[in-house]
Amino acid sequence: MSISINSLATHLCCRNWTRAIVVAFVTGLLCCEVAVTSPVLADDSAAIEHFEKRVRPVLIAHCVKCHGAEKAESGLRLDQEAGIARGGDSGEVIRAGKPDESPLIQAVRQTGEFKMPPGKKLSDEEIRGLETWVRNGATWPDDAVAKERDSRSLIELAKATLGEENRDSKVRADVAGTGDTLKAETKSTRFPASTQDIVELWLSANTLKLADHESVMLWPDTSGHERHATPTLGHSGGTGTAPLFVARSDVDGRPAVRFQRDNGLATPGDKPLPIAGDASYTMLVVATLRQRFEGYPYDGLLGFGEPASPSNPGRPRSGLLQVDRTGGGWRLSHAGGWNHDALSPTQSPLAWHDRPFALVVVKTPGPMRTSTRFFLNGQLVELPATGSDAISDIAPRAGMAAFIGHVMPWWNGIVGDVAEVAIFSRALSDAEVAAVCESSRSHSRQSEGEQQDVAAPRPAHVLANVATRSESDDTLWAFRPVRVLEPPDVTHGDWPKTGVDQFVLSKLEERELTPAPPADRRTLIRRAYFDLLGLPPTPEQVEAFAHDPGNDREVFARLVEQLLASPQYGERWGRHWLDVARYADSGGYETDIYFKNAWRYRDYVIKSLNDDKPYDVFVQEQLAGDELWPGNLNLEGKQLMPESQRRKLEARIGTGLFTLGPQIHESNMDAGLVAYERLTDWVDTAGAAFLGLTVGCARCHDHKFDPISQRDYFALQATFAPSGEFDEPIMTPMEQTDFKQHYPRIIAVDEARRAIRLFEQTLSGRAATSDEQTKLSTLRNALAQTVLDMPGGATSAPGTPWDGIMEVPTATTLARLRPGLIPTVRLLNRGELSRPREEVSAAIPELLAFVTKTEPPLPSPDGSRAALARWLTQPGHPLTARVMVNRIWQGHFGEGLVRTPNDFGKMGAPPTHPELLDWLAGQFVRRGWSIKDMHRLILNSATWQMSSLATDARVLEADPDNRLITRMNRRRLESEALWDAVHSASGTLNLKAGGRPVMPALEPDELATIRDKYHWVVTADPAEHSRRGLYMMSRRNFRMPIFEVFDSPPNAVSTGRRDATTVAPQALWTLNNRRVYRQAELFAARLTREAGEDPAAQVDRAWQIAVGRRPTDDEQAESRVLLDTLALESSRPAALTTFCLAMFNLNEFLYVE
Amino acid sequence: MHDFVNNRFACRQVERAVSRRDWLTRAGGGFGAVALGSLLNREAPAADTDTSRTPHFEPRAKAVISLFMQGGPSQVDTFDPKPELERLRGQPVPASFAAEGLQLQFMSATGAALMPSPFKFEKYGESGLPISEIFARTAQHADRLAVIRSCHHESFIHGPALSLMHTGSLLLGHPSVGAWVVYGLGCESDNLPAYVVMSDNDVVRNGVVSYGAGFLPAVHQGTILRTEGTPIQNLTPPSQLSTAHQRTVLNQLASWNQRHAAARPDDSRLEARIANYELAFRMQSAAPELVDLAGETATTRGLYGLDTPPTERFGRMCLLARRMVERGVRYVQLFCSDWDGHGDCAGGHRNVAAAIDQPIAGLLTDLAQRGLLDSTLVTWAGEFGRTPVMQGNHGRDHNPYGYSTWLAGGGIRGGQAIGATDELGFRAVEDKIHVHDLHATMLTLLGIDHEKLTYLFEGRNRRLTDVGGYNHIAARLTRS
Repeated sequence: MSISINSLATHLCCRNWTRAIVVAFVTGLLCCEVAVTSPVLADDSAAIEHFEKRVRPVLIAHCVKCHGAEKAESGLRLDQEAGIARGGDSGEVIRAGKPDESPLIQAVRQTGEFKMPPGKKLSDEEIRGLETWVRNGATWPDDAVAKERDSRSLIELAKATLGEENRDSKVRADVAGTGDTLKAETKSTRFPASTQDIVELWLSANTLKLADHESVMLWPDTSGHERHATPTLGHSGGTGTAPLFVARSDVDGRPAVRFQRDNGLATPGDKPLPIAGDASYTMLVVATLRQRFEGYPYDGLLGFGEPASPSNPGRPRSGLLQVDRTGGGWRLSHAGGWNHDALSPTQSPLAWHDRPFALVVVKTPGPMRTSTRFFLNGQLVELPATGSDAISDIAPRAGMAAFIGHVMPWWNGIVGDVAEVAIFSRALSDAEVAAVCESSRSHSRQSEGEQQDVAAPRPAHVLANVATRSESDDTLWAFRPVRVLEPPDVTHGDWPKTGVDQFVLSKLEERELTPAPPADRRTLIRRAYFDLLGLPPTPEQVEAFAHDPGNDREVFARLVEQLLASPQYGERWGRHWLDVARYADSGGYETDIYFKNAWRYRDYVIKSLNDDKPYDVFVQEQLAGDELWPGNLNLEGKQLMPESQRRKLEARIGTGLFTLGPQIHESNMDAGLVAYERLTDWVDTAGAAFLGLTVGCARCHDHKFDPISQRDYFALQATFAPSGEFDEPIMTPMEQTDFKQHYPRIIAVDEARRAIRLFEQTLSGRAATSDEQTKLSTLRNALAQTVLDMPGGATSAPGTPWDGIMEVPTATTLARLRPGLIPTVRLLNRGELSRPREEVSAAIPELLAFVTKTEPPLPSPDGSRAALARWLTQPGHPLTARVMVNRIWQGHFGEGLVRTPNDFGKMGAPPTHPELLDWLAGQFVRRGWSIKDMHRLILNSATWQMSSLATDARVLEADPDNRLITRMNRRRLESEALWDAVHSASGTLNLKAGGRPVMPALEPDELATIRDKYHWVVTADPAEHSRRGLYMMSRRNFRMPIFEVFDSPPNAVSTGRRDATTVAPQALWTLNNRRVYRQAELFAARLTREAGEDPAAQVDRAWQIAVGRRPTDDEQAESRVLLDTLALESSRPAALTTFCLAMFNLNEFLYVE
Repeated sequence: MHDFVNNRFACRQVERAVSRRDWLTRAGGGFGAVALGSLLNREAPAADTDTSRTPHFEPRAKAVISLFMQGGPSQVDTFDPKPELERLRGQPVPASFAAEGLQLQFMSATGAALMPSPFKFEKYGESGLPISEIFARTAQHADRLAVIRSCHHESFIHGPALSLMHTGSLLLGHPSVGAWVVYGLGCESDNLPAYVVMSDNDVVRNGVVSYGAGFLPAVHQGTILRTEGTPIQNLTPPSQLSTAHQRTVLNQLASWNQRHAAARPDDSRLEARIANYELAFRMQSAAPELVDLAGETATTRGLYGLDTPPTERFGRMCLLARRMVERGVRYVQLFCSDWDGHGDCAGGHRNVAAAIDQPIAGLLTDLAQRGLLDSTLVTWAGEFGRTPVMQGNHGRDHNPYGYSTWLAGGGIRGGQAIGATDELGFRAVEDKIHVHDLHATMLTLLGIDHEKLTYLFEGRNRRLTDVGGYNHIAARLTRS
């Protein structure tokens, strides 16, 4: 019996049980001769199930908001049985057994006096569910109510810990404050007097009284019309998030508002601009835009009116300025109406981006071609001959009047800094345009003057400090600004395909070396598949690619696009980032506790890469997703999570980076020490991952090699100190309901289980008397019944008996600690906790602040990480882009341009191609931090497409380590890629994406070292066992042997680059491992299936699958001899299996050219 | 990519790739590395690497057998007699002792009752070294043991304490002592791993951290050897594959892989991998031969207590350790469980000691008989000691503030005790030896300067002893 009880204990620790498991458990009880006397499903159970599935969710979704604990309108509560029994102010609501006579049913049918819920009728199915419930007696499961409180209190606790209310009220206060100060600054005196009455909107960043990089929650209108712009979330139809204020922007260093593609501002709809029909108007924009190359080809800049009608989204009735990227160009267009565009006069991709401009667009009635005039920096420019229609029907838009950036789901926002916009309600004369431009320019000069004043009062000691350090650190290339470079000229101009090649070739030509010849198509496709997907191509894919009649360049570019669009791309490149993130599923040390939701971070990384999330956003989310995208998930009463909340959740899960580090879990640990070690892990990880610096050295003393002082180090700790780990519940209301109904029964089962164990202990080994037998069996029956009463788990997929059943699904994220819990950070002598010195507050390392022209202090405790993240992702940051493009380069070549990707400091390797690195970093930022764009740039280069065969002895002599990139590096498959390749060959690879980590069955000798056997509970569904390597459970104390011997990184600290050792246990794994042998059997079966019984065809197919090419004649013959030899003493199928095993052991299988 | 491969060319390559600051070449150590390197070119001149492999000090030992007592044995019940406890039995820790500074896991030292050892200590050997009766057989070697009674460190929790003892760091991700040693000294066996780990209950507390390579190349990680069943992971071919067939396949593979490598002559990894298959093949017979004890005499078996239940398992481990040292294995780590005496400390200790006393005594005798003791350093240690005060009902809590270890063999001058704890046996007070000092001392005995055995990681030349470590007791420990 003890076996069953143990298995129940196991099941109790599992959320993922299903009815099947429960039944299996009860079957187990039956096998142990325990009679289950009650019927399997009592009537009560059916009624309860009906209530929980068909009634409670409806009540929660539609009724409880008004008739619940918070409001109880009309004295009625529909969230508890007592409420229903008591009824409302007007009497009973339910007559049990009689739906037709029950007011509640009448109300939802909307046939009687009350029509509920207001504004919307329930679906027929929902109504039928309620009717059935009432007809069957309106049973209300009595235990559910009391237990509801438990989970609710959890969520309340969650909110309290997040400080949600505080944050919201702070934002409100900020907005209100800004508004008040601006009331004083009334009408502009800047624009010409003749325009005073027609300035309908004027937003100037000079009026913003915000700290650098603070969110713009309100951009005041200084036209006098109070059309203040706010983030579009608050407006009907809006989808944007707040842009940031930048004190010294790319617009001549003026203050500006910095937009990313999803930032949008809008003015309120109840203050429409008086511009309608085929009207006259003028728009002014002073901005610097940044080039982007992906997605929907229009980026919204400024507009007003109805951008599209819901029924006809292509029919704007508005004045719009947008960046038009159709046809590969990059131009500004003025749009509205059908066939409407008036385009800016240039199509040069370089004309608009990265340089400040003042654009005035003047519109008079009539066709766009003749009615629009563009003035660039005060000069009239020629109008191209497009846009034959007039915008005859400009109309106000409900919810918002004017808008900037991203405001409609189908309309991207711009990326860039906007210093000023204005809209006038008539066409300005040329003289007025000139005056407006002049005033904008003089304003710009004025703010430049102010800016110098701001920069001047830098504390003397800081400057002195920086000056001395700068002198001694004159070689720190990584801290210098990224240079703006053009690819150099080369002699052999026909070789380069992208700018990358010019940099590489120019270096080779300096040394009179020639690059290796291009790799052939079969080599290229195998290389590209492993590079981008971590998987081999199928023989069919190889053949199709090899024989594609198109020209090499286009055919390959198409392949790259196809691979970048594959969901397996994110898994491959996500795994690279997980190395950097020191990802693991458990905490390490003795207890090695399981992180039940670390996989959500893993899936977040994969999704971010697949979505081509801009890297700056990726960094911001991981460092400060909670601060930058605040707002808990308010799931109350909502069946579906709106997109904006999914966005917040996703941003938050990014902070999981910090929650999955090594953790000690033992009783009575010194809390101070634990907090300190955690901060150490956080700061070291952030430093290595984002800055590419080994800041950890400065924990004990000023960094010996890099200009990071001990004070800088603890200032970084102070930046993270206000943060804590927090389990954020992420259930939908449906799931919460399910959870609530499970919970009380789980408690009951647990109690019963303990009672049985106690009972058995009291027997202490002797046989039970018949009386005792009866007692025990009664208990067991009750237990079995309770288990049976639990409906199937709706919250999760079947299969993995892992997460605790009593746990709410959560994501572990960072959030702000309550003020009282925030530890004071002090500089510690030698890094020892027992030797504290002065208190240190949050700040950017001094020298880095200096080189980025930023003041070191960071706001704290609110928003310290957000400010750090914004500082890191400002376009001019010397490290952020360099560090990341180097990681990308390393992912493609096996070696970075800087060969120490986590150490850009003095002890790190200097870049082999510093100019190329800077050029790539510049491109990266300019292309909106798009990682996929960098893949395109690199893969389509002649450099990446070189052969890896070093045939030229002179090249080998001059460049043995391939630092000059004279050829492609030959690369050994990483452990995950090897795992995937073996399962791909056998045809068993399961490409299911995401979810809990998988624990495949292992041999006893492989499991020998695991301390607690429950640390490796084999995943129930065998189909899971052949999923991709990155989904396998990665414990800090135990990794699967393949990952161990093939150099998966030790996941205690950030790993920038993996080793690739060559050791004998690797040979033992591929030769003897039972799983590998099993895959060889399946490989053999596949060969028979696909190539029939003919040995020659089998051999041919085997080589194609394993190494992507046909065998040579010799190899074919040798393979046949091998097969014949092996078959002499065994069966033909066994011989084929052994031959397949040999394929797995080919060096050509393990290495990619 | 770091590529650690095993021939002369590789050494040059690695030298270039890394930094000459590393005293020892990265390709220079470990299973598959030197083992294979020596196989390919056993007499490869050290000058080829342009770095001296001459030891820093005169090496006293060339192999290590580490007997690790998981859970933390009580010093006052084993090697650090405290008669004062008898006098103060049942009394609280005197106020003058300032016990509040001692943080313990489950209890407070202030107010707790002092508990003397129930075990008798006797003086053994010519030196008269006092040792507890539970180690009466080991005590026959008293003149070979140097007891350090003043060990200490800063963690009273198993996980971090184990991490400190095995890697010198509280944080994860650092290489274990064994990994450092094989990184420094390489392997002398052609067909066995350089660093082997065994555990008496198949469990290693803290998992791979206790024997891992941390940031050193994976090649330096300890290989788990099971004392029963298949000794090494993936060692035996699948049952469907006969040795003859495997040989046939390996021959064909070698031919294919050599053809592949011949077309890529600049890539030494490919050759190294071909050779690894041969090494793997040899290990398939060498490892079973190692664990096959049929050839050992009845006398030897008796020496290790191999045929009596309590000592059988650890005896087997000790005998295997001797066989490994004979075969050129550099570092053998034996884990013994469980010394975590929170409940009936004396009872638990008596049982565990009964299982290992004879085997350890046998090991020392056997090593000495075979002339291996002089070149083999034997160490005995736990992750910390235990309190002289009683926890609960005759238990003792963790105590990292003062505890005992001992060393033998490898030139150690036995029959002496170094350092001392206070009169209660709570804190180390005389000649305090921190974990780093212990590690520095061990490396010194192996001929390595702990400050020069470094590896560049995260921008810093890392060492086993971090920024600490003194080897000042090394001279006192050894025979001149």
